[in-house]
Amino acid sequence: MRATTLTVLLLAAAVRSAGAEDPPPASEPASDLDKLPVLQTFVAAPYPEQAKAEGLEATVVLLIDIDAEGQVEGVAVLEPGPPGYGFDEAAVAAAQQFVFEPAEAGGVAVPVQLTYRYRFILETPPAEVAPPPPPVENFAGLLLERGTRTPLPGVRVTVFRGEGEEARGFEAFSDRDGRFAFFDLEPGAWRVLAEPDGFFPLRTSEELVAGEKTEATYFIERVSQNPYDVLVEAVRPRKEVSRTTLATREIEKIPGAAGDPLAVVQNLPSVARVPTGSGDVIVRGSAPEDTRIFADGVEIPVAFHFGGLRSVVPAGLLEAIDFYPGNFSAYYGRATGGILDLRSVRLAPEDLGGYVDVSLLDTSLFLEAPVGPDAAIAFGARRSYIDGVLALAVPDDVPVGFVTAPRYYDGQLLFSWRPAPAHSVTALIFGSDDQVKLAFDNAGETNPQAVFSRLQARSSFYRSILTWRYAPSERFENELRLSAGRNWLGFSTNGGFLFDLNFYTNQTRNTVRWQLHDRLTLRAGLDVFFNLADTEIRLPRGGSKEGDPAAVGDARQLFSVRSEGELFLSPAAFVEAELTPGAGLTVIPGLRVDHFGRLGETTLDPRLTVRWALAEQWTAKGGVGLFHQEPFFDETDATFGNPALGPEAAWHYSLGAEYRPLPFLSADATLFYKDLRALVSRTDRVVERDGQLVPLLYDNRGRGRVYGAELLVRHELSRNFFGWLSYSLSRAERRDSGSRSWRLFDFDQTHILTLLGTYRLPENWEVGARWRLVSGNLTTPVVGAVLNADTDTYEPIPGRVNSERVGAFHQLDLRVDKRWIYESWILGVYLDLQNVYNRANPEGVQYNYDYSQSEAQQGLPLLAIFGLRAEF
Amino acid sequence: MRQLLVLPLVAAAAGCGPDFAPYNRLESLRVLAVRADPPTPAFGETAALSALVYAPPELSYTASWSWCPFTLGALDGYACAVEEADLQATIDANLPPGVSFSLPSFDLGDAAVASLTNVFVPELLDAACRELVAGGLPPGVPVPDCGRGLPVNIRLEVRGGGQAVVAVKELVLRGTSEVANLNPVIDDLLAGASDGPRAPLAPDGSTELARGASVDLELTLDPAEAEVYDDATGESRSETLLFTWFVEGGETEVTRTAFATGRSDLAAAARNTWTVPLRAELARESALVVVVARDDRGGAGWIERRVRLGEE
Repeated sequence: MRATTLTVLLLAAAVRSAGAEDPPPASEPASDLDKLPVLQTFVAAPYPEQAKAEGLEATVVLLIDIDAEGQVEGVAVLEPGPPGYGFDEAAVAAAQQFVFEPAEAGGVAVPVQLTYRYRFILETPPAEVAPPPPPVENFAGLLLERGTRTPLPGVRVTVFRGEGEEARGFEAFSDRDGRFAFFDLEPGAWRVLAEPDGFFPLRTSEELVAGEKTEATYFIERVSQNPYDVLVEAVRPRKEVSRTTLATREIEKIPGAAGDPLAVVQNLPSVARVPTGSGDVIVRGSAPEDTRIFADGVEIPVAFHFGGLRSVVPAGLLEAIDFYPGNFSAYYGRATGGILDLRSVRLAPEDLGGYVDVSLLDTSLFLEAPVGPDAAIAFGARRSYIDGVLALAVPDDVPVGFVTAPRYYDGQLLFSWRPAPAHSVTALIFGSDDQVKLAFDNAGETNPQAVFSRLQARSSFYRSILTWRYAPSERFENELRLSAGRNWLGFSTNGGFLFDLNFYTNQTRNTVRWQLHDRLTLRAGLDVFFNLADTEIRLPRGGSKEGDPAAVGDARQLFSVRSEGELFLSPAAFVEAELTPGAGLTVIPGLRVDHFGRLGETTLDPRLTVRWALAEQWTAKGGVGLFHQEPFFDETDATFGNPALGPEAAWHYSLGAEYRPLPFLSADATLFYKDLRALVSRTDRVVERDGQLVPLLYDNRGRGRVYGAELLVRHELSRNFFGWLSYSLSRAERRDSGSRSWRLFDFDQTHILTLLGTYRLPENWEVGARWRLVSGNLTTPVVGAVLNADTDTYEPIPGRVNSERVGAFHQLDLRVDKRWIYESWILGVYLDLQNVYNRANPEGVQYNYDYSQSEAQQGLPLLAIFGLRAEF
Repeated sequence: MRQLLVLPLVAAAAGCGPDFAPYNRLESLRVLAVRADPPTPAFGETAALSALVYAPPELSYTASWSWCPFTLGALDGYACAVEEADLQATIDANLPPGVSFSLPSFDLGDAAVASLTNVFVPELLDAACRELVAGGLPPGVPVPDCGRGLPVNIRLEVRGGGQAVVAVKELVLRGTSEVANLNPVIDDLLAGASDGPRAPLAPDGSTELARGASVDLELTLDPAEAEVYDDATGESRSETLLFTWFVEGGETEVTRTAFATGRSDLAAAARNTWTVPLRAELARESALVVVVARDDRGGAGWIERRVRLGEE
């Protein structure tokens, strides 16, 4: 007597023989998965004694929920067995102990639901039968998606011939590699039929020859070729008050972003609009430097190439972008504003593939390929040709020559390896290089205070990140990240200005997650960061800081700093507990300790997040936490700043609710208050340093407060539509050192409204639109001007800082995409139209030489960006 | 900084610059230069303060001069941070018994040429500067570099036709370490067709240039006007000379030129091209051409010539 299992619905895709049991509908279409769940641990159910005594067999149909780790989350009985014998209970108890290798979609492990037939069969002695002759495979085929060459698993293939009583037919299912086979078919013509869901039907015929094997490859086209079709989003449980995750494949086609996924972040609530040409990310009114950019948890210096035209990591290498506008986890530190974490893609290529993307700005190449069964490698590179565009666009009479015209490069290499189910290793090396060198025909037209004829600027960085993840069980996971890299920022003129920052940077992170109890999970880690800095600076003091109405400093008076091998060690440790006491409540207290080596100070940041699922559709949430960050490098320098400065601090408070009335529709509203303390602020005070009285320049006496509300209504891709509405209402104020009055932060924008959506049309067309309405930028009025007769320049006398606003900004952007699907590649073309109705949006105010006349400084007019992409 | 570099180029390419009159077009009441002679008076020396003021024909104006030892920064319009009486009282209170010191009046009068005498003993000036930095500076006053003597502020206010123009200049009262400076001198201003000989523009305004003509202008000056000096660190440096080319009408190829050792040569810096105004642009029969030379240590000099505008 034995108990045995039979076909699993999703696993039915792997059954080769015709006549397998018909699969009922599953929660995720099998064709959306590129890897089906595989039963690793089977547990036999005890056969009910009474049923055994009566010789009764039974089948119980179960519905099993499997999470992204392959663990069984829940088992329900779909079709019970005969009542009163205990078949149902025995089957459920056994199934709850099953362990699966998780399903995957887009290279990511995803949760699935499957139907499972648990059949109780009484064991009978095997009959003595002669073995049948082995079947002969004489027709085999391969089903691939047209364009991407992705295998199509689980597709029923039918071969048939004849009509009426002569009709004969057989069926087979394609396996996980898209292969199918028929055995012992008679010679002659056979018609072949396959109708995978979401694809055009395959109808063809094959002529079989006696004694020969016929092999065929069929490319089947999707009804609408769109990345969304194959996107099964692995929804991570939300633990933060505000986190927005943007899957790269969702957002690549959003209008106005010119195909750049990171630019889409600027359409989210709480993110201020920045002028065209700025790569800043302004979160909840804070200064750009308050928001830190991470790649796989490792800090990188910039998110965008110069001018904010392109992010430094291309779409192909990104899986998703996690954006936290505040109240983020203790995992993140050294920032008082927001966090932007770029998650690299989990490679799972079936074959060599990639894309070439050509646009007005640059060309990029991305390749990925499997390396054996457990590893994969990807390579990306991009080169701009703005230099060439400028050479054509800039008139000949502009008295500037390009020694090196503005250009950027970036490159990436990603290797992933899974040597064992519990171990995964990823190596990511990436970098970016921006450079420009200018030669001026007439040095007199450069800077009257510091004449120069040549200028060069360069910004580059690279990071190499090695990640080892060890997850021996669902309850324990350790992740070690070792990162090394370099930041180089340089600027110089032959008139004496020099700014050369060379940082060798190292960041080591180890994070442990340990589920101690069903209701308690601990997460703790170390985050050790150190910089080895070589510095050479020769500049005027001052520069331009938040709130400065004009650049400060006398360019004729240069100050110098030179240091080599200066080491700054900033270790941090954090711990947080995830408590789920029940009733839908999740409480996450956390604590982070940071030592800032450059400042010689240690900070302690307590943080708390609470989420409460009040009902199936409603979740309440709230958070409070303390955050610290270092001042700018120059602000703590003994020559250019105040080495006694301490870290800036911010308390974040937020309260909100989430509502999901439909599976594809959600609303998220958050009220927030940010209390900024110890802000670095300019001061006129003097201090004795090394026996000399010197200007203090900066102190920590600035204060700030930012408060407001945010709303995000998001329509996930459904019914061919994807889009969102985001709105922020906020006020960001600051009080500078020595001042009693509050003023607005530079990037205070009272109203920020963004409406965007993309709609998928037949024939692989797609259209999208984005409309934005934002309060006008702040300006500081000029109330007079004085001629500085020594420098031959008029110097403005500003009125109240940020006390005026230019007119509101509104703009419509449109995007049209079209894809042509060929057998083994796809050609995509897009047109991104920005500022469709050619609105003359004011970005600021510009003045004539003596500030007696002014005009609105306008943003870019109607702009069309055309690009094409070949995927293979 | 990177954006600052790229965006103006893009804007230039798009042809979307503002429609303002160029800096060097003389149309209304303006101060073009302020000169102190000598530029850095030592103890006992008197600096003669003069200004190059442009006023359209028929416009009369008045000028008033003042000085102030402690001014607020540029963002506050270099407003004087102390009252003369208060400062005199403070000085008196700190003088030894029997010693008197009279501060020069802040008001330097309304003559075309004003003067200010350096009455500060160098050693006392250095000491006073350091004492002031140590805590005696009025609030908001930028901390001076006491190694350079005492920089004071010269202010000129010009009024006429309902307009008021303010110009400021830093005058370094030389202490013990500041190196003396000389004002740059322009010898002459020549003009001629680009492929022809150039001749001096007559000081009496008798030179005639055809309207609409493209005329090469050339300065003559001794290369030694860019003085070589030792800076505060003892390093030998050469002055940068900056030339601003003002015209009453028409357009010049460039507004400013510069002579800086290693960055641009004097021959190029001393030349410009002027498109003489058409009658539609400037109806009057003559036009003014002014070139101001500045060094980067507070020295200034200029040359001005009026030319008759001939037929097109």
